[in-house]
Amino acid sequence: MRKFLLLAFRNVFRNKRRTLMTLLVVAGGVAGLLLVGGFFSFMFWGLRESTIRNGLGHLQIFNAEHFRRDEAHVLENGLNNYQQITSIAQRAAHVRGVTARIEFYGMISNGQKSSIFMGSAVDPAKEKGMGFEPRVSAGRYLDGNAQGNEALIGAGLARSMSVKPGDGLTLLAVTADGALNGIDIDVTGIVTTGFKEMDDRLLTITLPAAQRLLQSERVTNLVVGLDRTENTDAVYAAILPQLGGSRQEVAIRKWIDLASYYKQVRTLFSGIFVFLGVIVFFMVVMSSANTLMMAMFERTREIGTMLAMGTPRSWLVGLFVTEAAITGVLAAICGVAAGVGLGALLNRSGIVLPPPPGATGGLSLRVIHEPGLMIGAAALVLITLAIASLMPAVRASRLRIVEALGHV
Amino acid sequence: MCKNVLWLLAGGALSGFAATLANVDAQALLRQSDILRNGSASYVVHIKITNFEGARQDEEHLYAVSQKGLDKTHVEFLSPREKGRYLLMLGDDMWIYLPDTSRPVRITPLERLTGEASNGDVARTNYAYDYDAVYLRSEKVGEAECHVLELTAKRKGSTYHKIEYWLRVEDARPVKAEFYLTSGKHTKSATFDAYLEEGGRTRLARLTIYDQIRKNSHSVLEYSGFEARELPDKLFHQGRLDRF
Amino acid sequence: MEHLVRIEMVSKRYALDHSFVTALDEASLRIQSGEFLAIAGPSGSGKSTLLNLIGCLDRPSSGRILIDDIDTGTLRPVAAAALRRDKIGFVFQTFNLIPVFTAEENVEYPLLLHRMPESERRRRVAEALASVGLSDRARHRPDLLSGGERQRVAVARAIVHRPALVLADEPTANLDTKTARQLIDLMRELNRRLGLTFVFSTHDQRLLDRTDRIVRLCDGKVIEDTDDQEVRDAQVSVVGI
Repeated sequence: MRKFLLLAFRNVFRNKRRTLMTLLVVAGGVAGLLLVGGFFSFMFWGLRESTIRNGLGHLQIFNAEHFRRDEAHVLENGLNNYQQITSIAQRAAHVRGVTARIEFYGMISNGQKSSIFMGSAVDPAKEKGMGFEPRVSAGRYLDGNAQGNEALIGAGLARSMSVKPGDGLTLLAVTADGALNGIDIDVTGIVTTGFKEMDDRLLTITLPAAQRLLQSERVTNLVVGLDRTENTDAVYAAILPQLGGSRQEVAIRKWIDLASYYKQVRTLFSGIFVFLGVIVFFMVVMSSANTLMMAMFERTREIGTMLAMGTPRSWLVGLFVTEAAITGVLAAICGVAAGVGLGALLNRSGIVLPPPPGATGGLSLRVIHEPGLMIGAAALVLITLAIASLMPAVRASRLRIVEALGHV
Repeated sequence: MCKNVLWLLAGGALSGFAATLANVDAQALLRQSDILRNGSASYVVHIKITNFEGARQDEEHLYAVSQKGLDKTHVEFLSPREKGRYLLMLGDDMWIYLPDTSRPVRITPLERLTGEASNGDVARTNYAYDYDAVYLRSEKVGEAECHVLELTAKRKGSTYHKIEYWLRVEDARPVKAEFYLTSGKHTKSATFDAYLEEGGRTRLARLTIYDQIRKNSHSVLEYSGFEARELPDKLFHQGRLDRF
Repeated sequence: MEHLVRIEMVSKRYALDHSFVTALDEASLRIQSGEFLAIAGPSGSGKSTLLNLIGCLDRPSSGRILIDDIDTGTLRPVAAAALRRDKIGFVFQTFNLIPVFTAEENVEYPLLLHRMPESERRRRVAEALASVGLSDRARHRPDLLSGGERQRVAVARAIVHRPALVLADEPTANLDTKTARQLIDLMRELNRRLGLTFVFSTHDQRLLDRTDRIVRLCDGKVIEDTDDQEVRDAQVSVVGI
């Protein structure tokens, strides 16, 4: 069998120019897929990290009831004993920080005018420690140790309330048991998220202030930050059993379960990539099917001779497919090498693309090299070439010997 | 031919006159009914509101309503858990004042005070001030012959967009009401259950408000401790006040 | 088994447009094992057709061909291929060597079909090349060999698996006279030394001078079969139509 492999190998290089053209086309397809796929990977990575860093965290811990039914009042489905759960989570490996949050809403008033707010309460020191500080366009971030109730408000809300840092406002909310309650707050900073709908409603106060306003010791959730995103699954598996014991049922969500925008983007671009793969597939088939057919015609007499000598027809099919596969392997190697090389060049080039919507800085053009992608692209062209060679191969094997021998 | 035209003109004039008469009647009727609800130009009255979910009784809430003239109301929350809170309505604007806060929060009369009672149901009961009345028809409700009026909001501070109001023919006593929002949605209905004779006057003693959307809920408002009294302007001061 | 090959009233017709072409017309022939014979005739006489039919590359339209008492017409394609592989060696006018294989690899090819172990293959290849006198050209590819050398490689390939029958269709047509004679002499020597049966076709009279038995075809019919006396008598009755 080795001789057949050798025959196939030598046949590939029979017409060097033709083989080179096929290699160029196929390798080009592979390299193209690697570059686009690598860039998409980079974008996903960037979006993933920025989503996590903008406050989502890597894992979030809730009371299981949170997902089962809606609350009639804020914190009805909140997390009890969160300090205990925090310390459990904090002890796990790879955990950089655990912080509690309360999500609530109510009315905000400057004495003349009221508006609705969508608020969150945080532990400022911990949030800062985990890198979750929002962009403060005026004033400063919250100080957990300050007197009074410090608050950040969204730019739109600040405008509608006509306040600037240093001014005061009053919050009105319905407490955990359905009563009305109010507190005064001092605006320390104004936040711009870039999304108008958020800026018109955003309010951030400290955990103790919210707990006073809502008359509850609970929190909405705990946010866990890790050292590296890749450790998410491991930490999830480690913490989950430890939280089983307590009386309230606890649910843990990974960032991927909560990052719906990220998932949508990812699905969209993955779909685009698949579409590209289909294009490459057709490109390879078109360009190689014809050359393979030509090659077969040129060897008609040779094929006739081999058949005359008693070569089984299946061996001939195998020979042609093997030749295509060898070409595919060579093309894949060249393509992967080109993709990696070009990718490295692009990474070094420092090209910066225009900023995507919502961001300020430009997006630097970078390509991530993923082994899985390389193997996938290589396999794609290999299989494509093998498939493309099937028809010429079968045609070859079906030649009538006498006619083939008489071929020019 | 001339005679027919004359008859037509006369007929038209008469019905127009009758209509105008009816209109004048409607607004006057409304004013009359307001007196039965409010009793005096300046007064204090206590209201106890009990909320019901189906047959089950929830908490009671106590309020002291001070009304001066047609457009100044101060409602103090007397229930132990709500102590220190009060509502203020001046003209078309309403605020809630919470203890430990340095400024009030602007609210609307339609928002819920407790149970089925909106802020306006307690603080804004001079309908003639807030609504234009149109006479619809007369109708019998139970034993009583009633005028049916259609009230349309004429102010920003009016609680509801439209009210259908049944007033007893003999004394313009409110018998029942149906409340409608701007969208036309029939949101609540009310029955004026009991009246008291006191000091030569008749006044509303009990009112029940029913939720027309969540058909199971209703609230009972019981009025007591009526006192006609001069009230100082500073009670209705918009700025922050310590307890009056 | 008396005769290695028996050709009994074999005809071959091809459809051409709206009519038929008769390439072979009830030809009959018997070949014994170890014979060295030439099939002669002008072009169009049916020589190649006859060789193709003997070689199981095609099927007769009527009549039958028996090789080792096996009716080749009844063989299904896979069985026919197996028969060719085991019992027949081919030499072609146009050499038909695989260009990417060296001389020795070309010679080796039939043995690969037999899945022979490598050591055995190497021995046989060396032997075959030696017997055609090309041991020193073993590593050369066909494009580095002369015409005569290429044909000798083809001969070596045709005999390496010791087939019962070697068929050569106009093997010398592309060679000059001297080389052609050398080739025929080579084949004859292999016939004598190894006892392989050789059947070749040619229209070159000079080569026919070196052949013992000649079967002549004309318009698809066997018109002459020179042989030793016994068979010649029997031949007369067949030919006398």
